[in-house]
Amino acid sequence: MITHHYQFVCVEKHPTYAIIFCERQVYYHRRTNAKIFPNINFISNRVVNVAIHVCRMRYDLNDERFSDVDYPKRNLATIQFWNTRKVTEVQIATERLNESVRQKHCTINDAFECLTCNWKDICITCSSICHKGHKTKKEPMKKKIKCYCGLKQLNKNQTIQEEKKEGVPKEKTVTVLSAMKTKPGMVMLSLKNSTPTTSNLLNPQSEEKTQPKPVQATAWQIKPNGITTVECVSLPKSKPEKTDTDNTLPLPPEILEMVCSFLRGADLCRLQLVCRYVREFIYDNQYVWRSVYKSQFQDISSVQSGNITPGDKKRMKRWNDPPVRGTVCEGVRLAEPSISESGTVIPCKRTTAILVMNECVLGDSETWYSIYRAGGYAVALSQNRGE
Amino acid sequence: MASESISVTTSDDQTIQLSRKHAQMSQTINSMLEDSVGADQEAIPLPNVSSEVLKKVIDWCTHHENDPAPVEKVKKLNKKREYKAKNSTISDEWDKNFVNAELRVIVDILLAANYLDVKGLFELMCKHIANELKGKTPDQIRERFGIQDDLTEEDKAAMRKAWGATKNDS
Repeated sequence: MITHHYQFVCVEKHPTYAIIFCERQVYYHRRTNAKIFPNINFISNRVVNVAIHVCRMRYDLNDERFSDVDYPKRNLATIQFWNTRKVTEVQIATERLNESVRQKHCTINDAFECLTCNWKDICITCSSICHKGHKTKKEPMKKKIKCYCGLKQLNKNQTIQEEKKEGVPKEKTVTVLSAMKTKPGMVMLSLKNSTPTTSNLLNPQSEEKTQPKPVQATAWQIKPNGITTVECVSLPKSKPEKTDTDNTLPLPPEILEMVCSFLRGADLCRLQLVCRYVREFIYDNQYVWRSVYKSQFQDISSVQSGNITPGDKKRMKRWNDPPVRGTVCEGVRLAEPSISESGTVIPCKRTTAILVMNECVLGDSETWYSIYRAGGYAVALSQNRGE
Repeated sequence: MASESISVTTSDDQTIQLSRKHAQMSQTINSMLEDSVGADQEAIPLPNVSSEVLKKVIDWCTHHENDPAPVEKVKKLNKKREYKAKNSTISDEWDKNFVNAELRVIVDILLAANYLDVKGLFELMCKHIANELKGKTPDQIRERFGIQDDLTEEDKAAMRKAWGATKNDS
C-alpha cells in the first residue's frame, strides 16, 4: 500500500495565481498519486503535472551546488493563472487535498458505495467527483479506511476512464506557456486554458504551433500584473514569433543550464546577446559561470599544494567577504603576482586572483564573470588548509 | 518478478512495448515500476512523450544498453561536477549519427530524455546543442534556432560595456 507521497497545500491565493506547496516524492508517484487522490483529476491533470514538474526541478536544484543559496521556499510551486475560475478550482481542490492529508490520505469518514462501478469504500469527495453521475449509496460509517476509489478505477473500471476522457475538456486543462527560473529557488510557470490535445507540458513550442496568438497575449497580460510575491517575470518574447525555422532555444531552464555547462565563456557571452530570455537566464545563473570558471581552471586547482602564506590568507579573507559589485575587478587586479609566495607554481597570464572555492564561499555570477574576464585564476583551497 | 516487457502509453495514445532493461534506464519509469510492485501491470502513461520520440529514445537505449552506467558512479560525478571540466565532444560514432537530425527532433528528444530522466541521452543531447551554439555569432544562433531579437541596442551596448568586451565576444 502506498502512503504519504504527497502533500498539496495552497499557500497563497490570489486572483491570478496560486502557490501550491507539495512534497518531493510527488513526481515519482505521479501515476500512483492519481490513485491516492483521485480528486486531483478535479483540478485537471495538467495542474498537477505542472506542480509536480516544478517540484522536481526544485528538488533537482536542491543539491550541494545551491547549498549556499538561501531559498527556504524551494518546495513551493507557483502556478499562475490568468483565469480566475481556475484558482477557485485549485483552492477547492487543495482544500480537499488538505482535508484528505489531515485525515491520513483519504481516510473515509462517510463511506460511499458506487453502484455503477460496483465498488465500495469511496470517500465523499470521490463519490461526488470521480463518480459523478453514478449511483452512489452511503454506507454505514467505518473507521479509518482508505478510499479505494482511485486505487481501482484506473485499473479496472472502464466506465470511469471513459468518463474521464470526456471530462478532460470540461475540466479546463491548463497548459504551461513558459517555465522560467527567475532565481534559483523560484520557478514561475505561466498557464493558460487550452484544449488538451495541444498541451505538452515540457514543450512550449507545441502550443505555439497551434495557437500562436494566445501565447503572445499571455506574455503581455502577465507582465503588467506585477505579481507581488514572486520576482518579476519576463517571458521570452521570442516565442510568439511564428517562424518557419525551428524555434527551440527557449528550453526549460534546467535544460538550458545543462547546455550552458558545456559552453565556454566566449560562447556564453555571445549567447547572451541572442535574446532576452537567454540573457537573463545566463546573467543570473551563478552555476553556469562557476562551471565555466572551474572547467577553465581545474588543473590549476589540482596543482595547489596547500602552503598558504599570511598574504594569501589576507586575500582569502577578502574573498570571504560577500562580493560587492564593482569591487570585484579591482580585487582581481590587486591580487597580482604575489601568489608565488605560497610556493605554488601557477602560470600567470595577466592577473591572478585567489579565491576560496570551497563549498561555502561563492560569488555571484558577476564575480565569476569578472574574474574570468580579467584572466584571473582561482585557487581551490580546502577548508582545513591554511590553519 | 513481473514480466520482461513493459508497456507504456505515449501522448498520442499509442501503446509501446519496452523491454525491462530499457525501461530501467529511465529513472522516471524505474521509480514508477518500483512503486507499483505487486500492483497489476498496466500501461504506464507518458503524457509528455510522443511515440515517435519514444522510439528514438528506445533506439538510443538499445545501443547503449550495455554501457556501464551505475547509479552510484553518477552520483559521485554529480558531487564533483563543479570541479570537472565538461567536454562537449561526442566521442561515440553511433551517437554522432544519432544526433544528426533535425533540430526540432533533437529538442523533442532532449525534453523527453529530461522527462524520462535518461542521464546519458540527456547529456548527449545537451552536448549536441552546446556544439550547435559554439563559435557562432548571435545572429547565426538566432537564425539557426529561429529566435527573434528582442534586445535593444542599448541593452547590447550596456552588456558589452559591462564586460569590457573584446572582439571575440561580440
